[in-house]
Amino acid sequence: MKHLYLAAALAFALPATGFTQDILSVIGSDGSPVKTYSMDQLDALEQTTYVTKNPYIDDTSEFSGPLARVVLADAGQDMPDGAQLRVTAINDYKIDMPLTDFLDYDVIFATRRDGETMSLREKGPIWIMYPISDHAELEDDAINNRLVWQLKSIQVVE
Amino acid sequence: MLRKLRILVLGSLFILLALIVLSMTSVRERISGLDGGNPTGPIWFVTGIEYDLLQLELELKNYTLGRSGPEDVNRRFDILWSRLIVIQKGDTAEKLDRYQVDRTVLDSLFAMLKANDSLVVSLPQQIAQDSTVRDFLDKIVTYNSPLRNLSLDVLQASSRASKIRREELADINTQSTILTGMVVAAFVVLGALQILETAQTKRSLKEKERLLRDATAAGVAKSQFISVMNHELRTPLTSIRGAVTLLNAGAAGAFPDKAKRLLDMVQKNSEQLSLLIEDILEIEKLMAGRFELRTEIVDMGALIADELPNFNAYAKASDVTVVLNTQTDGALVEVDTKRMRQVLSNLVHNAVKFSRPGNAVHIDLTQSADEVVIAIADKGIGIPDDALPKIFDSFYQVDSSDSRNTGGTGLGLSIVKNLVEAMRGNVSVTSQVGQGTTFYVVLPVASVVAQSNMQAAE
Repeated sequence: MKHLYLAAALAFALPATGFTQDILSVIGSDGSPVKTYSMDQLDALEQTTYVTKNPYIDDTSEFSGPLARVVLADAGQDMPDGAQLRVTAINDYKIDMPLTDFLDYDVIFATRRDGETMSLREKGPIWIMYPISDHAELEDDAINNRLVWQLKSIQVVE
Repeated sequence: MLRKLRILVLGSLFILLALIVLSMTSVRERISGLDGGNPTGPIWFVTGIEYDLLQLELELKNYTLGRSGPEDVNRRFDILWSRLIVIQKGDTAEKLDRYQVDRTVLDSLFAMLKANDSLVVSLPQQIAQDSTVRDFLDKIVTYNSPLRNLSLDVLQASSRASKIRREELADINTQSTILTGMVVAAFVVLGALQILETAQTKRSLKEKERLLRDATAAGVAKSQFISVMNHELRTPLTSIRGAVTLLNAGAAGAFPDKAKRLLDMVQKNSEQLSLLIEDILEIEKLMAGRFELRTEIVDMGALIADELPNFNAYAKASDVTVVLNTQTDGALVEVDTKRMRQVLSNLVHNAVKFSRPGNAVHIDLTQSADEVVIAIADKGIGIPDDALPKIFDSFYQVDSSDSRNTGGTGLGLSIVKNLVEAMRGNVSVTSQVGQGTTFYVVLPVASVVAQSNMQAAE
């Protein structure tokens, strides 16, 4: 029984993936990969941190990670007006969202929650986060659907 | 009345609009409460668990068949784990609580996962030969059916909530329709009020026009009357007076005493009648503002002194004396001399008329920095308090118990008032019954008049 708790604790503590493994793919509009990122690479980008609530947690948490637009720019991804993004998660969740969200708001690819990396069980390693607490208009189901956890890839589709 | 009604209707309109806004807000809230098609609602997550469990089952089977590695199993295990956490936290947990579905199957599943956590975490690269994985697989499979039931329960609860909401929405819709109807009705009432008011304004305008026409007609009638007075009354009266004067002067020889007395009576009364006509024409002119003042600067003291012999000649017949007491030198006023004499004459004659024989009428002339005051006081019968305010009205005569016929027309004081006011002055009166009456004529000092004229010209 004791070793079971230990194992469980270990599983929570361990990041779902190593820091050098690719965890995020930016995919071009033609379907070909533009650039992939490991946790180290994402950490090397300018970090943004804010405290916000969201409908999937109780209370609030501090989330940090690179701005989504910074990642796309770093990948050299064109960001044409009116572009749609197809976001895919490890759990097979897929959603299309407007690119303007990334330009209008400080949307981040959060890699840390309250300073800790997030395991797959804790919706990691990457959770798309919006500064909901700072913008009342973001308290909306359409936005909730875009808080993609276990983020795997992002593609500009049009 | 219409105004109050309009305010009332407007007030109700505001309340109705507020109610509509409220109900719209409520509709918006309730619509957003409907979970239809929302991929982050409770149904989504509960069916997601079902899906993730099937994926784990599939991955485990693949693993036992050597088609996938332990990391794949772990990934699926972790995804299912994370999904189970989602429905225990935040909005999703709240909604599930509200649906009051039995969630023991989820708790049981989570407990089962925790129990097999160490097994999954430590899955070897090569397929284990013992039965632990098979047992785990068997356990997973037992959850398929209960999870399906839970999904259906949640779906049912959600659609029940949706149904209730839809019914509420329908109710709100009905309410909104009624409210809108009331608003329309309120607008109709407002419109009707507007029309009514316009009609009323029109009517009162017509009434005013009619009154104006009547007034004009009255004015025309009056001037016709004045014209009749002037020509049809005065002209024959002048003939009568002329004839009587001639007869009295012996133009037709001497009359017997009795005839002479009758002739005197005719003469006296025709003169009285003539006086009345003159006064009426005078007041008419004054009222209409159709008279010209030829003003000049005169010394009021000198003017009164000049008139004094005339006053005394008239007063002598009543055994009254008129005494002038000038307490100032050079009381300069700007007046129409002829009119001023008329004013003084009128007031002094009145004073004399109401004085008792043997008494005196006092004229006091005083002056302040900007006013000249002429006070004409008698020791006569006095004027009752209630009559004082009316004595300057046309045709008003104090109903005197004094049997003496004073022979007034009731127009004298009205003429005085109009004339003095035309000369920028004012007339006032104080009186005590049995003690006497004092009239005050107050006129601005000439220099002050000149000054104020200059100011007005600037």
